[in-house]
Formats: sequence, C-alpha cells, structure tokens
Amino acid sequence: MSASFSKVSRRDFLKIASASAIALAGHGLISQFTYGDADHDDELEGVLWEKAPCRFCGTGCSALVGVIGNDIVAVKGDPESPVNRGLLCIKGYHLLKIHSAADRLKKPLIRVSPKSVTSGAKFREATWDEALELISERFQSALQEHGPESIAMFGSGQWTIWEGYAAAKLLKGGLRSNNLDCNARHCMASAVAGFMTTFGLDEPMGCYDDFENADAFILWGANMAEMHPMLWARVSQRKQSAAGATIINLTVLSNRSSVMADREIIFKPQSDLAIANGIANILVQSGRVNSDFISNHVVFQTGKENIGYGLEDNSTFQEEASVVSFDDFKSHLATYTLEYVQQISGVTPDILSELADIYGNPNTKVMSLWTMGVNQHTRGTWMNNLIYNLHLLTGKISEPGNSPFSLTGQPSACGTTREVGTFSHRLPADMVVTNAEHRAIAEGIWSLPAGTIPAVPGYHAVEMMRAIDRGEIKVFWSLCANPYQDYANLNRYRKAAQEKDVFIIVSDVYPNLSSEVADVILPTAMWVEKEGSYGNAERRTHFWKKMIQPPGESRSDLWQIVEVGKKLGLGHLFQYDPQAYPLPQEQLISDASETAGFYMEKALWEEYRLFGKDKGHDLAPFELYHQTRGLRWPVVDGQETRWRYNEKYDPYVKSGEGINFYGNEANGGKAIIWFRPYEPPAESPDTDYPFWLCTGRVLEHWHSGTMTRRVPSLYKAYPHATAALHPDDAAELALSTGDRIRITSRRGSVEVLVEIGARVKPQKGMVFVPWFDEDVMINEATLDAFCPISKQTDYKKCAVKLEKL
Amino acid sequence: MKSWYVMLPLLLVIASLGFVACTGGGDDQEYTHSILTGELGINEYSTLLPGQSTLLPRAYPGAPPFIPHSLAGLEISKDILPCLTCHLAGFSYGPDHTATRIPESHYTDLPTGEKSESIQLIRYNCLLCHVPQSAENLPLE
Ligand code: SF4
Repeated sequence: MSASFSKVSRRDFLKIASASAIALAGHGLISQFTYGDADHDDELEGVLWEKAPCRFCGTGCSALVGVIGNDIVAVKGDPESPVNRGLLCIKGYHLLKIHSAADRLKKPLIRVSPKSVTSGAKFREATWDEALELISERFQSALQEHGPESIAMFGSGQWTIWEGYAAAKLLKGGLRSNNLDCNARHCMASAVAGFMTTFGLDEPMGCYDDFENADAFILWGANMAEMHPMLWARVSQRKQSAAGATIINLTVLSNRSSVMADREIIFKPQSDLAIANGIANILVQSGRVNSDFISNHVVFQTGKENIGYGLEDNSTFQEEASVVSFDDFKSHLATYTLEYVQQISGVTPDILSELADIYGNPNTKVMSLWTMGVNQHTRGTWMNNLIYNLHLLTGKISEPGNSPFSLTGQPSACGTTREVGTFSHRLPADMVVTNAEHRAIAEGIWSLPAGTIPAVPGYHAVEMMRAIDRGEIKVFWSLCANPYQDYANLNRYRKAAQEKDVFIIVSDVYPNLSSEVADVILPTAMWVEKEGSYGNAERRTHFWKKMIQPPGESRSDLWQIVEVGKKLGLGHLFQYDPQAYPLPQEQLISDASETAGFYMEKALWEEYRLFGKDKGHDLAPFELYHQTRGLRWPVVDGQETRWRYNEKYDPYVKSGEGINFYGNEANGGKAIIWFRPYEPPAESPDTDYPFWLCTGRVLEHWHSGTMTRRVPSLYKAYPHATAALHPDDAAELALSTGDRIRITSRRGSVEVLVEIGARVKPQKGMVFVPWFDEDVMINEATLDAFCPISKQTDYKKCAVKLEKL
Repeated sequence: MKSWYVMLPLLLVIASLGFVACTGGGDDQEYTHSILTGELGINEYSTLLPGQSTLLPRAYPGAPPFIPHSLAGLEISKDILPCLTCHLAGFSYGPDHTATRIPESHYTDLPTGEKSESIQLIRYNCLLCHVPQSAENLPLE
C-alpha cells in the first residue's frame, strides 16, 4: 500500500493537480467509474435557493439553502459571499437537518414535577396563552414584591439583531431592569473590554480582506482550523499561494492549526501575558518601533494591578488609570527579559526573538488572531490590550494586512450582543447605562420619559447565576442559550435552579440541560423558520428571509419577547405604524410580523439604526441587506467600510488626518497602550489537583450540541467528548485509549473516556475535554473565575486530578 | 487499537437517564430527551485502508462525500496533501473500490466561475468539509 500514498509536497501541489491526471491516464490508472466526479447538486430539481448566514460560528459564512415545499433538501456554499466564496465547513453543509430532529419542541410545556426533579421531570402541554399568562403573572409578582432587580433575562450571540434589540428595549426600557446579559459574556466580553479600553469603540478596525494581504499570521490561543474553518481556508490559501507567508501557532496544546503552521509554540497556561510583554520589551529595547506612529497616535497608560479573579459574589472592579510616558512604559516592560519570559512561559529566547522579528520587521504585514484562548482568561481584557500594544508600537494597524483581529465565537456576538448591547451595562452603539447622556439618547429614541432606564448596571452573566443562588432573582428567562450546561462551576448553579425560589423560563428548540430545570419551556422557531439578521466578526451585517414554516406551535424569540411585553402591558414598545411598515410581499411572513400586522423586523431595524447614525456605527436601510451578501459598518452613503480609523478607507477620518482613533475623542483620537503585567491564574495545579483542565469545542459540533448532536452525520462524525492527555502522562497513569477516568476538581467531577493521540494533544500536565456532550458535563469541574474587567469566565484553566476507574 | 465494532457493545451501558416520559395521560406530553444517553464513548472510525473501503452514501445530493477509510498515516501538512494521491484522478483499486475523483467545483473559483488547471488552494484543508463517520448512530434514530 505504501507506494500508493507517496508524499506530495507543497511545491508539487499545483503541478500535480494539473499534470498528474494526465500522467496517471498515461498509465491507464484512471478509473472509468465516475461516481463522485460530479458535484451532484444539479441532480436536484424544483429547488428554491435562498441565501442565509450559517447558524453557527462567528465566521459568518453565507449558505444557499435549497427548499422544496416546507423542506430543506440541500445546502451549498454561497458563491456570491465574499466571506466563504462558495464553500462551507462540515457544520455548514449539514445545516439542513438542524431543525428537524425527532424530539423538536412543538408546544409550550409547564412543569408538573417538583423543581428538585431533573432527569425524568414531567411537564404538561399548555396553550401559548396559558404559558404567557403564567409568565406574566410571575414577572408581575416579582416586580411588585421585589422590584426590577429580581427579574433577569439571559440571551444569546445567536439571537437575531432584532431579537436582541427587542429584548434590550423590553428589559431596559420597559421593565426598567438592566438584568439583561447573554452567553456572549462567556465568549466575547474580554474582546469588548479590550476594544473599549484601547480604542474607545468596539469591534475590529480591519476585516477579512486582511487574510489576502497579510504576510504573517500569529494565532494567540486560537485553533482556527476547527473553530473558524472557512477563515482558516483563507489563511491556508494565503499560506500556500504567497511566497514567504508564515503561520505561527501560539497555543497551550497541539492542535489542527499546527498542521499548517511554520512554527508551533507551546506555552504554559496564562503565560501569554508574559510572552506579549516579552515581545514588546524586545521591540522597544531594540528600537524596532514606529516612532512617528507612536508620537502621533498613541498614549501610554498604567492601570490597577492585582485585580483578583471575581471568585467572590458581588465583586467589583474600578480601574485606576494613569497616563505615563513612553520611557515609563519601557521601564515597566523591562522586567520581561528573555529569561524571565522563559521562566514563566517555557518559551525559549530564540523563539521569543523570532516573534519579535515578525512584529518588528516593517516590511512584514502581520495579522494577529485570537478568540477564546485570550478572551476566556482571568486577564482577558489585559491580553486583548497587550496584543494591540504590539500592533500600535509598530504602527501595524488599520491598513490591509496589518491587523490585530479579534475573531468572534458566535454568529451574531458582534451584530446582536455587542452592537445592540444586550449586556447588563450596555446600550446600542457602544453606549452604556452608567452615562446619563447615553440613557437620554436611548430614552429619546424609545419615546420614554427621562429617567426610565436605570443608571446602575444589572447583573452580568456570572453574577446573575450567583444572584439566583442568593435568592435575589425570582424570574429568570433564558433564550437561545443553554446556561445549565454552559456555566463554569455548574453544580452550584444547577443546585440553585432546583432549590431556590426562582421561576425559570427556557425558550429553546430541543430539550436540553437547561429546559430540564425549567418551570416553563417555550418551543422556539429557529434560523430560516423566521426572518433574521446576524453580524459577523468583520462588522458584516447580513440578513435572511423566512424560508419554511416552523413546526407545531413553535414561535421565534422575537414573537415571544413581544408577546410577553404585551401581556405585561408594554405592547406600546413594539407598536409601529403599519402604513410605514407594510407586510412584505412575495415572501413568507414571520410570526412576529404576522401577529403584529406590520413588518416588525423592518420597523425594529429602522428604529435601531438611529442609535448608530453619524456615530461611527451607521447601518444601511433594511432592504439593502436583503439584496446584498451583507455590508460592513459603518455604511455611509451606501458604502461599507473595510478599514476603520484610516483616512484612505474610513469616511469618519478627515482628509489629512491619516489615522484617527476617533473612539477616543477625549484624548484627541489616540489609541491607548496599556502596561498590563503578568499575574498568575486563579487556580493552578498543586499536589492534590495536579493537572490543568482546558475545555473547548470541536469542528463538528456547535457549542453545547443541542443542534449538531441531533444531526445524524455530525453526530456520527464526532459522537463523544473524550479526555485528551499527553502520552507521557497517560503512560504514567497507565491509561490508554478507551479507559474510563474520573476528572475531579474542588467543585465537582465527571467521568469520561480517555483518547490518546487524538486530534488535540495537550502539553504535559494538562487534560483537554470539549464541552459539547451532555453526557460529559465538564463544567461541573470548571472554575467560575473571570476577568474582573470584562466579567468573562476563564474556561481554559483550573486544577483537577485524574483517577482511573 | 480496538476497532469500533468490538468496543461498541461495551460502551452501550445504558443508564436510562431520559429527561422524559410523561406518558401518563391527561395533558402530559410524551417528552424525550434522548441525546442524553448516559453513555460514554470514544470517537472511532473505519479501520479499512483506502482501497478497501466502499463509498458511504452522501447526506444529500451535492453534500461533500464522507471519508469511508482510515486516515492513519495520512496526515495533511503544509507540505503534504496525501489525499491527492488517490482522489486527484480517481484511482481505482478495483470494482467498488474507486476513490472519488475531485470534481470540477474544486478547480473553479466559485465567485467568478473561472476554471483553473489546478485545485483551488482555498480547498487545501480537505478535512474542513470531508469527515469520517463512526459506526454509532444518533440515539434519536
Ligand atoms: S460553522 Fe462557521 S466556518 Fe462553518 S460554515 Fe458555518 S459560519 Fe462557516
């Protein structure tokens, strides 16, 4: 056999692709059997194809969804999409079955069993009216007896933009509660805090066009090959087509992204802080910085240190910022010598210097890429700041290919949660509830009396769960999320759900570990069963139309939010002029629009975009998004913006200014370089709990698996979460593939089977377990420590022990 | 290495944890939560060598074909793309054992429709779209 699998070198790839068929034909080796030669999509007849963003990751691919009648029969990559260029990853290709598994929720359900029962809990069917009535009674009695602080909503980066917007309006403008947070807190909060503290405006300055312009790609704890597959396809394409293109994979475990990398650098957990400072130190010591850029566009600051880990209930954070000189900054950095960095991180001086050479070479265009490794970090905000530092010191920013690029986890973490502001402290267009002017703008647009929106932030995601445990929250509504599988330190919060006096409403598509603890379950219409809008990681807002009818009595989250609002006497928040927003013609009408009698999505959109108009967040009129494959905001005069802050591309930068970080108006449009030190993790391995536990996702599954584990081919592609270990650790513990172990932390334990040498290969002393599998509730072991600035949980580091069973 | 058909029975220790079962009449709905199975497992795929395996049915017309053979020793790297050896030309190992030939779409820049002599480099990572299948079935089926 071996001869048949002779190696094909990269150099030969192109040659072979064209020549080898001919060569083989000459040897008579080409088969006459042609099954598989064709792409087969032409076999489908009578199919209506419509575009829709993929339901899964923050890449934001566009799919063409093939519909016959009320069935989705095929999905293909949308060739007109500049994001994915006609391709999809394996999850995208199997979108067609995410809505149709046998146990789809189709009717509202009300709990019959006592709250203490989870597995085997009984529910009875209810009408929508009965369910809504019950929900509204519970909301009203909580509001009357305990005030607006006693209700909470937990939303999602998978919500459509208008769903997030309606939720924000209902909670903050209607119920006068800022207790609205979302699963994006666990995903992108550190990115937001990083952007806000450095640039004063959220979201990347660059865009995906950077992939075709960069010379070097530095992955900071981001396994793009599995988590951002179609972006990885573009990185790989660049790597294979541009001479000298380099990929560096900085990671705590060997993964599939290492396959394409020129160098894999394994570092100790948490030490990315030291590595980034070490690179910056080399750059400033050797003078490989862009002095003009620094003097014109940057200020230096220090902040509060020893900021803790958010482990105590009700912990707070107050920044203590001081402006310092470049020389002060340099002397702070001076601690991060080659030796010191090596001692903390394990990264050798030559490798660190190599990284500095890439950032420091003025002719190398650098893209830094990161997501959960950096964001799910007790110093997540700091790590975001530190990566920006490298680009700001060298002036490698806001131009094609020079791009610190914060990748996004969820399909609309940007569009919905960040831009709309479905966080406990935020309002649309980067405004915050603590700013009186911002509240007044929101109250103005929402036609509310002054003083309606509370000035104090509500509970952030983790504190929300802790408040339930303290008995402070009486009604908790989770939509489009799975908190009772997703939260770290899950035992505490699941126990609270069962024991405390809290009425839990779960809106979902399928039964899962959250609906299991619910008092009421609302069946939800999903994806192309409704009209939708997402915003991806490159500021691209894209829309889709409703293509099929949802099953049974399931209703979209938008419909649910509006109907609950109406029951609570807040229907006026969602009443718009039917003449101005007539129902759309020649398309399926969404449930929300049908019930309202006007085009609800369009009405909400046109109101929502008032928030960002002329404030750097301009969005286009509604129709344009149905006509295009999305547009990157700010959209000014119908034109999208590819590189912000740069006069050449961004209409907000005046001619002659060159670069203007206009989010920081107060300091004259300068970005802030923060000195942020290395500080140790919240919990590190010790003699009792000698291993690191790191969690994450896999290519084939989306988040907690509620959808993808019900798609037969995705289930079969990766049925189980397993524990990956370094072979030396496995040998020491006498473990081999298939052995059952118990992983125990100070908070809980799970049983799981070991898989050695699988696609993830952790460093010595670390175990990796993905969190998609309901049968392996790894979050019972994880620690709910978070970044005190962003309040984002660190799912990547805690201490565990392993026992063979 | 144990093959999946040997391992499976061992893994099928059903803990019957269903989140379930309101069959008790009245308004109660039969309510199953069957992807929570109480089972643990590992991810094992065909151990058949390329050339021994037969094609798996596609999920739908136009769906990327699944990988029916073992990938042991066939690691993709930045320098080596072993998949091409058989799939470039559709190498045949005999009746029913012919590698699926890389189709025209892979030589086409889809946004422009331009065809090229060589495979589009954006397709370099075959495993982003083509995956193996374990023998285990979705508990719901
Ligand atoms: S999961 Fe992400 S990469 Fe895959 S098709 Fe969907 S959006 Fe694209």
